[in-house]
Amino acid sequence: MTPRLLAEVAWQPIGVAIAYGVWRLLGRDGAGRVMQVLGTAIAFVALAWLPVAAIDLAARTRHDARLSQAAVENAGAIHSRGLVHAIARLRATIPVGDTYQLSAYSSRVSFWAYTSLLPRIAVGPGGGADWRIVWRRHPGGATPAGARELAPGVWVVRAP
Amino acid sequence: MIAHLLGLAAANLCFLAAGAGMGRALGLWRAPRELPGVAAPVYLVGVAAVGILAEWALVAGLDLARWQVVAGCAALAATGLLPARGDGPTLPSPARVRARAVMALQAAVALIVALLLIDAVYRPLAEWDAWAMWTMKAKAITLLGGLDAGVFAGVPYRHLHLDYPLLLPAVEAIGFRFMGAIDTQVIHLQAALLTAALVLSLPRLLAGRVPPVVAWASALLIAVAPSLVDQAGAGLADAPLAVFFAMAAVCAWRWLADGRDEMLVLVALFAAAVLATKREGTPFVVALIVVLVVAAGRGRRLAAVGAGVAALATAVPWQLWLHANGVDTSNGEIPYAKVIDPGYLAGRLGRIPTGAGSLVWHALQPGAWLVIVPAAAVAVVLAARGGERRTAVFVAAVACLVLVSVVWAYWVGRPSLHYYLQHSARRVVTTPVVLLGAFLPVLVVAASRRRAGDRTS
Repeated sequence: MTPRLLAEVAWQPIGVAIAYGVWRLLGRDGAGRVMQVLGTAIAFVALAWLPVAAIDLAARTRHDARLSQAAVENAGAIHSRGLVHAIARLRATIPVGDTYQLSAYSSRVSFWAYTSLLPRIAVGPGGGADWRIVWRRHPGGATPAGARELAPGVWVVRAP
Repeated sequence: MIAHLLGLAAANLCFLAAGAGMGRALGLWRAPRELPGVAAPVYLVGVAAVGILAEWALVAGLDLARWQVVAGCAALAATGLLPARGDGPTLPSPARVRARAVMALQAAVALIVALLLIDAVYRPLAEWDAWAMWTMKAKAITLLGGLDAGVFAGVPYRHLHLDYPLLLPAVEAIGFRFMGAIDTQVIHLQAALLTAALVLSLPRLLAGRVPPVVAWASALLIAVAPSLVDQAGAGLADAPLAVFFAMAAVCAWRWLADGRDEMLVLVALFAAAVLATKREGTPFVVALIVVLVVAAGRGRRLAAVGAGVAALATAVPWQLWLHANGVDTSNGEIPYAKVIDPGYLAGRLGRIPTGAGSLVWHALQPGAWLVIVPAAAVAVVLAARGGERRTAVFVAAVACLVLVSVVWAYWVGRPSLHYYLQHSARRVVTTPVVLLGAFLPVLVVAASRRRAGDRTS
C-alpha cells in the first residue's frame, strides 16, 4: 500500500465522523429528513475526496516548484526544444519594437512566436515588416533570398 | 518570486479596497468589524468592477499604469463614504457557529483553498489557451502600453480570438504592472483567487436562508471538485467566467427572495463581468436575465430588464473599439448569418444529440465534478414536487438554458463536432456545474420544505 493511499484511507474515519456530526447537527436543528440525508451525503462525499484533492495539489506544487527557470519560462513549448532555441536566437536578432512577418509550418510555432517575441509585433503580408521569418519543419530547402539560418529550418532576413 | 507575490498582493488589495467601498455603499457591511465576514464577496465585487473599468480604460487609450489603477480603485473605495441607506443590512448577519461539524468543514475549506493558492503560485504557463491567448494579451497590454492595434486588431493575431473581451487580460496586466515584471508563474494566483473567493463567498451570500453546515459542506464539495481544482489556477477564463456567473445567479435569486435592490445592482455588476470575461458569457447572461424577468413577477419585471440592459450596455465600448479597428467579430467559428437558416440547421441536426450527450456526460463525470450534478438534480426534483417549486424552476431553468446555449453553439459552429468536444466540452460545462454547486444548499433546503409542509398539514 502506497503512503498516499494509506493517508487517504486513514482519513476516511475522520471524514465519516465529521459527516456523522453533520447528520446529528441537522437532526438536532429539526432540518427534516430530506435535508439531513442530502446535507450529510454532500458533506460525506466532499470530506471523502478532501485527501485526494489535497494530496494531488501538494504533489503538483512539489513538482512545479522543482522546475527550472527555463522550464517555467518555456512551459508552453515544453515538447519542442528547437522552438525555445530558435525563439532565443530570434529575440537576440530582432530589436525590441521592430515588426516581423512570420511564415511558419504550424500554428503552435506561430502562436509561440507571437507571445515570446513581444514587444516585437507581427504584421501580415504587405504590412511593411522590418523582418521576415521563414520557419520550416525541417532544415534544408531553398534559402529565402538574403536570409540567414538562425536555427535548423528557421530563416530570418531584414527588410531592405 | 517574493517581490512578485507582494506586487500581486498589492494589486489585489486595491481590488479589495474598491470592492469594500462599493460593498459598503450596497449595504453588504456597515461597521468595520463586519468587513472580514464579507471580505470574499466584496473582493469579487472589486475585481468585477475594476476589471470592467480596466477594459474601458484600455479602450480609452490608457495603459493601466499603477497610478491609474490606484486612482480608479480609490475612487471606487470612496463610494463607501457615501451615507448608507437606513433600511438595514442587505444580507442578514450569519448565525454564530459553535458546532464542531461546521468548524471542521470550515477548516477543510480553508485547507483546500490554501493549497489551491499555493499551487497556483508555482504553476507554469502550460495551458495552450492561457499562453497563446489570455496571458499573451496581458503581456501585450503591459509591454506595448495598452491596446496596440498592431496586436489587438492585427491580421496575424486573428486566430487568437481578438474579439474576446479583456477583463481577465486586463486584470492580469494590472498584476504584471504591480509586480514590475512579467511573471507568468505567479500570475496564475490571480484567477485562483477568484475561485477561492467564490467558495468563501457562498456561505455568506446564503446566510439566513440555509443552515451554515449545509452551506459549508456544499462549498467544500465545489472546492475539492477535481475539474475546478485543475482549472482554478490554469490561467484560463472558464473558471473566472463560472465564478462571476455563479455570483450573478446567486445575487439574482437573493433579489427574488428578499427584494433588496442592492442585490439587483450586484446582478448587473457580475453579469457585466461575465460579459467582459468571455464571449460565451453573452448567451449565459441573456439566459439568466430572461429567467429573472420571468420569475420577478409583474411588479419587478422592469427592474430586472433594467439590470440586464445595464449589464449589456457595459459591453458597448469594447464592441465599438472592435468595430472601429475592423476586427472580425464573427471569428469564423459561428456563422451568424446562418444561425436561423432552416436549411443549414436541418443539415446539422445530428450534432445536437451527440453534443448534448457529451456535455451531460462531462458534467456527470464523478472524476471531474464528484456528485454536484446528481445531488443538484435530486434536490431539484424533490423541491419541484414540494412547496419550493419556484427555486427549483429558477435554478433548473438557468442551468438548462446555459447548457442549451452551448449545445446551440456546437450545432451551428463551423468546426467539426469532434474538435469542439475534444477541446472545449470539458471546460464549457464548468459554468453550469459551478452554478449548480453554488445553489446546492438552496436546493437542499428547498427539497426539504415539502416534508415540513406535509408534517404541518
